[in-house]
Amino acid sequence: MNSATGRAGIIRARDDAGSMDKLAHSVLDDVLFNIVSDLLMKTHREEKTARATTAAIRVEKLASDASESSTPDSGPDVRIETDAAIYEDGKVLLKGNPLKTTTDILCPRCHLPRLLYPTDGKGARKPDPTIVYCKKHPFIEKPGCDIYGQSWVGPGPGRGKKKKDMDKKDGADGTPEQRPPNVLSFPSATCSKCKRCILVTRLNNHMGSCIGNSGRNASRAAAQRINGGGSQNEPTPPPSQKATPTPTSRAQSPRKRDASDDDDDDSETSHKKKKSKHSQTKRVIIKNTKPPLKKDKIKSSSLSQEQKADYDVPSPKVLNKTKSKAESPIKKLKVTKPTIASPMSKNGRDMDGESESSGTLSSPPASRH
Amino acid sequence: MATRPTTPASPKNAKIKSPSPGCPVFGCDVDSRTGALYCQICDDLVWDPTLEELRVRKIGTGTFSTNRKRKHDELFAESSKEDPRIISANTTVASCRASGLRGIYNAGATCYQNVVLQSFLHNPLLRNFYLSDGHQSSECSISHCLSCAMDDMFQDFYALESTNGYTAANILSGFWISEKKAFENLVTTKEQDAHEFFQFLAEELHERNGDGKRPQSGSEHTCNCIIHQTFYGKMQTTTTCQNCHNSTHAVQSFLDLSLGVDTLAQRRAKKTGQKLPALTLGDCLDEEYVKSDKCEYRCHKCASIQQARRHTSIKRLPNVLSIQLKRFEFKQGKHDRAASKIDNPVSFPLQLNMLPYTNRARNRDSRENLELERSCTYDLLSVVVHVGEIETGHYVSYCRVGDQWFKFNDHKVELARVSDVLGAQAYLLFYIIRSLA
Repeated sequence: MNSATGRAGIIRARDDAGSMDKLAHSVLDDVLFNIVSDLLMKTHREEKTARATTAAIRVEKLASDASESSTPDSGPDVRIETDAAIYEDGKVLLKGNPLKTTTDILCPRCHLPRLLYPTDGKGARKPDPTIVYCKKHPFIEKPGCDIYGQSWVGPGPGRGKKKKDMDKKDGADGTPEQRPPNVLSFPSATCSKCKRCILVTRLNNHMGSCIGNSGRNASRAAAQRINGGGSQNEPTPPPSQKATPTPTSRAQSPRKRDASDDDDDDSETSHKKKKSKHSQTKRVIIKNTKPPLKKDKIKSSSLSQEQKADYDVPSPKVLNKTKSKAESPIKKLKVTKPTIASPMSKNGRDMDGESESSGTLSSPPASRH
Repeated sequence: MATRPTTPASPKNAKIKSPSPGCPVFGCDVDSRTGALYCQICDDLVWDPTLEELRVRKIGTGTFSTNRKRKHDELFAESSKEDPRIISANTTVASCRASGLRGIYNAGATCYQNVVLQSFLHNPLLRNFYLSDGHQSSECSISHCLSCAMDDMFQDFYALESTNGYTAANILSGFWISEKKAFENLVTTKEQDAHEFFQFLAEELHERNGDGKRPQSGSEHTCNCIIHQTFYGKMQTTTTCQNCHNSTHAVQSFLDLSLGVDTLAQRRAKKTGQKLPALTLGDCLDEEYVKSDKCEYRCHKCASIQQARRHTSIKRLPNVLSIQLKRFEFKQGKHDRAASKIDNPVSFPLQLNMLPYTNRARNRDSRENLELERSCTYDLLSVVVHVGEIETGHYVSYCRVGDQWFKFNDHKVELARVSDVLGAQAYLLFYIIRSLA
């Protein structure tokens, strides 16, 4: 009981301190040790599993390249050895410590090398321009930018745009080099009711006047009805107020706002359309599509463990029938992995599932102390 | 080692000896807290998949018990029944860039919607429901269906490579077109209450996915829809007559827990003399679900109005516990009532144990309790924060993805530190149950 410190040896009581003092210091020191060791352990685990997966991916790729003739569904019947792993009988065995034998990290999904440092901001390093990296980049931490290093051009003058602003904008669109590529402008969206393109920052106001019964067109229409101004417009019951602005009110109001809305949206319309088309073709589906929530009806604190699995499935898959016909052998290999995997295959195979899931909520609670 | 005192916090290393003494085949150390294995031959920690599975199970459930093990094995057996060829023929892997981390553009005073949408987007239960085709927008015939809009949004967030902000046009138009009487005031172009929007969205999605019945406040409504399975719990109010000690129970389902801050803060201010005394979430929960209050009540047995004690506790905990801290209150001013904001800091934990607030808290059995406590442990998932004054304020939110926190400020997504999150002036808190088992 005479030691003045705990395991970390950082928080140290004075030598002449009382035993209670010493005990308190050593408790605090132990707690500090635990925090540091948990952090270190978590990082070590992530890094080592990622490297082990990388070694396994490498050797599997070599094996599948070596035996083009064999059917892609079954494991190729060859023996391949690299510095980090051995491939034999459809199994991968690691050689030595992957932290020493493997220096980089391959993405377990796309098998491209991971970019290990952010490209901008805190801790940035220049990436090698000759390497095609996995698209998952480290997040950027830089004031004024978001996690992707993007920033936005100011939304412009608050109320209706002036002529000179529009000129400026047209110039910028003509020569895109003037704006850095990661500075984005606000897009526009189509109003589901009137199908017009509205700048996103005005969308709520537009819908207020287009769908709802607020906004100035509606109030004008109301004023008109009260004054009995619009001759062809009978006083309408409230529900039809929610419809499009009446033609009379449109005709009477000078179309300054609408015109500017339409104009500055033209540049982005085509882009937006392309995007929406794109989104129709793809669908993300979680691999584990068994009915996720049917089993537990009312008991919620005692949910069946089935749910845990759904919880754990992080890698969304995109449904895309046309693409999947052109399967590469690598892709096949990846899918067949869970079936061949056996307890014999040391740190390698099962790892991609696991290292991926640690990116989402399913990481073991232990790592979240 | 011998001179060092052993405290409960001290890490211990158990040495595993090799089966035959003197033969250094498999000498390992096991860390007592995390179960991490240190191999003396490799001179490094090893993360063997077989041992990892055991380790994670032990830490997650506290036991290697065979009962759980069987469940666990069934679980894996079932998923492997799904033919990988079917999966590979119908799916391709989403781009590694599509992480679900995107901002949502502010469509003009809609930040109160964006914060709620972000917390839905990063809710794993809702995400898995929508990504596994829980509500297919292609098969839905309802026009301007909000659930379809949600489906589209989940697709865009988790399948597209775009890192630009998202335009929630369909959500917005669904919101404008929806004709919910209770939320009529919400539908304007002005800034609104995020909590009301949360209620609106939950009810609307329940109607689109559930049994179609309107959830009535005060009733014990149960439904199997995703919203009920995710957010709804039940609470029980026990009223005990002080005269005859007869007690009656009333059970009602809840979407969220609304916790009063004002009275507690005022009481604390009087006691300590501080202007803005700091509170904890535990204080607020104690006030509502541990303490009982007095009320007048018409007792059936006594057939007269009697003094009674009323105690409310949680009967069934939801999978995602949403908590509202009532920061906006109508206060009686000199001339008229005006809405005001309560700025007291309320600290909240990353990890919340809800056992003390359930109706099972009272019957103590230490062994059972440990198990119960485990099933009542929640982890913080997202925080909705209101910044600024009541009229001119702004909403931002923090959501956790894995172990990393992100700050969502309309279209801008930034990395956030845990200290940023815990230091924020929370308005809505979303906690997710740690283990669904």
